[in-house]
Amino acid sequence: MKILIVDDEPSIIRTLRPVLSALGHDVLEAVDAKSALAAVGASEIDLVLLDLGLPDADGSDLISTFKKKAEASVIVVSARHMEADKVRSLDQGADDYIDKPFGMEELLARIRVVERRRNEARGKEPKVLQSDLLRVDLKTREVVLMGEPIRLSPKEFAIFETLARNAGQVVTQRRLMIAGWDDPVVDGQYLRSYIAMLRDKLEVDPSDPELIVTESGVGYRLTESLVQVD
Amino acid sequence: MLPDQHDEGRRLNKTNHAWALDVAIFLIATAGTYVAQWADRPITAVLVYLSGVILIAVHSGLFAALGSAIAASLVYNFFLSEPVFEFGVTTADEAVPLIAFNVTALITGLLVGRLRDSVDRASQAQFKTAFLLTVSDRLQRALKVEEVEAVMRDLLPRQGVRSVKIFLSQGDLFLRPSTGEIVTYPVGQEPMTLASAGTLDPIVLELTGARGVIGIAQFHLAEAGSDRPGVPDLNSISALIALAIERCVLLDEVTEARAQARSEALKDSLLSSVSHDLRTPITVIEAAAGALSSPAIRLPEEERAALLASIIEQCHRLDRYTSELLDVGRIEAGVSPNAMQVVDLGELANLALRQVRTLHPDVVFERRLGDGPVVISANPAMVEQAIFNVLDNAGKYGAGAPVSIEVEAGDGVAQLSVTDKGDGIDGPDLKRVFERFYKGSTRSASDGSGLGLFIARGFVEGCGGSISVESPAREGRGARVSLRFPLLQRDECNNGARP
Repeated sequence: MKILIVDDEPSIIRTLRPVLSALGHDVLEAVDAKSALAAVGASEIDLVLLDLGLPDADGSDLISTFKKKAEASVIVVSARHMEADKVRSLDQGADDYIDKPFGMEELLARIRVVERRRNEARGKEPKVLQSDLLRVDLKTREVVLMGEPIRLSPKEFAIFETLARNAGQVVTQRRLMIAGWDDPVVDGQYLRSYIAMLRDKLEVDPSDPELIVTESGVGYRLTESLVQVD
Repeated sequence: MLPDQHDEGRRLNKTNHAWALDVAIFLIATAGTYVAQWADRPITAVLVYLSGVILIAVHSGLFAALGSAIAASLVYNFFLSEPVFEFGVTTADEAVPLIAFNVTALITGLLVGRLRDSVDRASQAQFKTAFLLTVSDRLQRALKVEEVEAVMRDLLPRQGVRSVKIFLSQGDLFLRPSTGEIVTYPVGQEPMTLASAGTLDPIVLELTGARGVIGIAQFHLAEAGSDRPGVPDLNSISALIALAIERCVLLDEVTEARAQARSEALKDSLLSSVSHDLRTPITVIEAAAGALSSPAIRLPEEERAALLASIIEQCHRLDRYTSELLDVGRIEAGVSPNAMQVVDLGELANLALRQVRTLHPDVVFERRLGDGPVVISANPAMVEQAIFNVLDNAGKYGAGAPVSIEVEAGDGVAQLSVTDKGDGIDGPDLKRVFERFYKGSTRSASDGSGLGLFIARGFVEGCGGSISVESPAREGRGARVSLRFPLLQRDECNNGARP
């Protein structure tokens, strides 16, 4: 992939560049919003690793440009750790969010999810999403967990489908509310109780969820990595 | 506007004058009547006398009028009407003037009295209103409950109220903010009013605001003085007091809330700045170490070396930032007088230069020091750190051009100035460069923590010096930061500044 690192910290670029290059990615860099936009205009970028605290602009204002003009995926990388920032970035179209400091493995896992999804997106509409553990049939609306069929109500499935289609990435509460109720400002308590019901059916230990994890103040993430199957 | 002690005397004087005028009118009327009677004009005589009585009634009211009417009757009957020097009414002609005098006096006197009463009432009401206005006007300017009480203590004694105490409700108790005095005032007890209170018992009124009873006011009346202009309406006054107190309390709350919000905002920005500056090096260290330790990532040897080098570099950066935060803590703690020593500013400049040259090996630092030592009293470590921070800044923003450092003494002032030839500092930034965590609007985060000049100022000022910045410094470019300290005279530095 062609990855653009946008960060005003040269030391961070210096650290990420060799690692991403060693994994076969093409790395470009920008230290401010101006040079980031120039880089996006000049070549086709697949993924932008975006720091929000840029000297000449708020990084989140660039997201929609990256998405629309370059059709690039965006992973926000920020030290701010503010829920409002994360939600805003994701609502602007960012694909994922990772807090500084991060483990290299974690960042690479997030990049792999983006890469897989970009490859899948080029194909047709997925029919089945699956992993060793989980199989989600989007046509027949069947969910199978470790060989066991799981019965989900239509609303439960609508919410779970959104998580599954974005498997590995954070999904904001807003998007889940739209999926379940077609209303972005529905009472958050509804969503919490549906997530609890899904965990009851899908988690080994619903009180300590590992499959559907909460991204505090932002939304939820399906941790299982699902692959599109035709 | 307000009546005072002088009124007493004036009132007395006025009464004397009134009597004298009444007597004069009576005498003139008597004389006129006598002349008319002598000229054999009995009707004119009676009318003249009657006019006198009316005038006196208008001037002095019912009792003076009746008095003058009776006197007029007697004088008329005895001296003027036939038979002269004899009392006695024989004919109707003689009785009519006497009846006319008295009836006229009675009616005019009553009318005048009533008129006067309503005028008095009106002026008293006006006086009370004026007083309430004055009270309200003065209370408007009170910002604290203590000031409210002071205003009342100033105004009320002229109104027959000896003193006033204001208590604020604190749960079941009432606290007097001006003295800390605490009283109880059983809830449910009927609040005393003017009528039910004895003259010398304090009158206690509840102060009722929008949130219910906010306190009580205790009025101590002066010993009964009947010719006082009347005790003002204490109920209205307590309403005004309640209003003023409520305003003070709300004002306090608003001020407190604002200060709270300001400190919250400051705390937020401090935390966000600190967390950014701490997290960035940690991010690099964690990511680089993760990459080096991951079996999945195969890096060429020179890249591995570079990642190790950046881990070490970021550790140094964390260490520097930690020291800076500690320095900020030291500024807040203040400089102990014991830590002050007699030192040579040039010597400290040399020490700072040695450090900064290793950090900016590519930048030329030109040293222009005077001949002899420039001695000041300061904490050497702090001043050295301050000079280092200023030099480091010049090295960072000096665009690679030579930076000059000058130390000079003159006119009781020791001055050290550092001049760079960089882009200079924009006007709006210029005022703020010494602020905590302030980074120029065009600087990127990598340039520093925004603490260097803040620490420099804190340390210099802590040692009794001052620091200033000017930009452009020379030929439209660069910036100059100057540190000034009081210069010690030679006889003040016996213990030797130079090692």
